[in-house]
Amino acid sequence: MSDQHRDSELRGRFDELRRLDASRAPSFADVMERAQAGATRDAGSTARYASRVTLRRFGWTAGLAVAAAIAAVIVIPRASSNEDAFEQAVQSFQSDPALGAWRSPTDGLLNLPGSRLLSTVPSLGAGQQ
Amino acid sequence: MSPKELEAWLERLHEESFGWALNCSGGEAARAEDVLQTAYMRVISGRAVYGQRSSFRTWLFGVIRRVALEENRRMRTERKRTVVLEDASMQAIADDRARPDEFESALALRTALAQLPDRQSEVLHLVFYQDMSISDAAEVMEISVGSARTHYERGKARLRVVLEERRNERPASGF
Repeated sequence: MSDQHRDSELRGRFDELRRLDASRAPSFADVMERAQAGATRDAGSTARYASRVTLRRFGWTAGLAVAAAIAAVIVIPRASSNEDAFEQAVQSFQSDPALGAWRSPTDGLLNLPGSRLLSTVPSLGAGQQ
Repeated sequence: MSPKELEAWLERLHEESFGWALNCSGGEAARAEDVLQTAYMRVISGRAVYGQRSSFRTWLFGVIRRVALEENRRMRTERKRTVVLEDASMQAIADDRARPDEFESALALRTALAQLPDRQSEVLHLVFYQDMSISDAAEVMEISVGSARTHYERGKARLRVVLEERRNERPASGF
């Protein structure tokens, strides 16, 4: 059997299947009516969904704003007090640089008994007065 | 395209669309009707938009195929959750068998098509049933023309084998 003949045999079967399907096809008006009802319902539910999403978004934004405000109230004064302390330290160092000078903890060991006598120069006639 | 024009096109292609929806739904008429309804809904609501890159029929068949695929996926997921009492495609074939004998050859063809891989069944339906070219069929199926041609050749060969087997079985089984 040639390929063309076999193709036409297949086509014949498909034609028959098409007639069978056509005999049980639903009416266009029915399917369309249901599709239109579905589209209307779909549009309504889409609008409801959109408004739900908008509300939810608004809720989230408001919540975030409240959280940010609380965080600001807690964090900002502490940060400014740290700043103030630093500012005060800088100012006091500027007014008396010795306050900011480094002192060794073993400086005291250098103060020997009588070291004051060694560091001062005796002046003549001072004892007579 | 205006809504009126869209509706006119849908009406003109209704029977062919139903045939294609039936093929994509394993031959189940009720499922095919649901698929067609959802596809029409998408078209008239503007969720599926005709971009005029192909013929309206090719585009519409693509929409129907996508809806059917989604429906099949949803059904598979639902079936996994519930106890399967009966295979749907077998039920469709059983329903068809209740039809008069004049369609015996068509029913044998539907049964044979159900045994083919989806892509092969789809391309054969589009070419032989819908009289589409292989390149149009490829567009509907969203595959390359080369792949469509391969599915077409393999499908045709496989379909002949299945039909031949059924023909040889018939005297013994009395079908």
